[in-house]
Amino acid sequence: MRTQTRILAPALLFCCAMASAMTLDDLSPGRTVDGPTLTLKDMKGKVVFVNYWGTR
Amino acid sequence: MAGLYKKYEEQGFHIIGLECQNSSNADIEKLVKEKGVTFQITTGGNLKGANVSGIPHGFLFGPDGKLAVDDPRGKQLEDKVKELLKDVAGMMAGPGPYKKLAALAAQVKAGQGVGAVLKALAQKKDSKDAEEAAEAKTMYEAIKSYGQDQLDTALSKKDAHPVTSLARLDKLALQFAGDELGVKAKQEGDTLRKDPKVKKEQEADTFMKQLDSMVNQLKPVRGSKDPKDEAFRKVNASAIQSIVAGCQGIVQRYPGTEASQKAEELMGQYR
Repeated sequence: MRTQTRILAPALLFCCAMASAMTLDDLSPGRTVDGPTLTLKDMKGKVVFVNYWGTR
Repeated sequence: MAGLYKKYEEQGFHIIGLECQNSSNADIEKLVKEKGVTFQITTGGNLKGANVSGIPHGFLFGPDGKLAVDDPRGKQLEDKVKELLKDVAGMMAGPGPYKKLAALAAQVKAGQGVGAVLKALAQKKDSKDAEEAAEAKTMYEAIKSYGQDQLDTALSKKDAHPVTSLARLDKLALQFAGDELGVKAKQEGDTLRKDPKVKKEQEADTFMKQLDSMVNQLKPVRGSKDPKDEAFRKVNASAIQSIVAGCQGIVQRYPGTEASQKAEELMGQYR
């Protein structure tokens, strides 16, 4: 159990650090299906919420 | 989510919905219409480094482009959006830090008199104080670049979304009054305002906003505002009838406008 914790803790810390280091430059918006088509340039200096979702 | 976007879009808030279940465009469009979504929906998008184990899962970024909160929900999301929006105007001056020109940077952050700030910076660029001159040059270029981007974005919406374009041009004209960017924004706005087609769009938009406000005031039943929920429809029967009648009025009186499209969609949800 202790060994597992020793291995998992740094991995979790790494994941958290990766997430908090993310920036909008990491976004590939994909192909627009609906709504306005914004580029990364349009989002510069704005507050942006990137939401993963699905229809099912 | 759709309501949050409508509420804060004009202040500089964007939402991108990354569909990640390989759904068909028809399924996506159907759901988007049902939910009244007006923000950008994409397929095949990706956020590098995102750790998503279930959906929905959202990432909120601040105006500096950095991740602010991982998966905020409900009130936490709205509170954080409001907090971050206060920094949007501040981004106009660039990252700084500004020591000699802190007062001017603060004025920019407040979003007031940017044209006057640009005039002052143009003079300070020639200052004998090298540090002050360097700060003035950096801030001047950052503001100009930001303003030009905003102007380009506003103009790019001129044909498809004239009402949004006009609102943005008016805001820029006010913000950059006294600078050539402000003059250009005012000229473009005045030209747009004279267009009879835009006048019609503006009038229709005013009525559509009233209907949106009526929709927001509908009473939820057991926490649901689903237009298909029978109990919800019963409690709000009279208001729903007025909303549908209002939509019909907009469609008949303002055919071909953006508002009439929205009215048709709204009518589809509540009829």
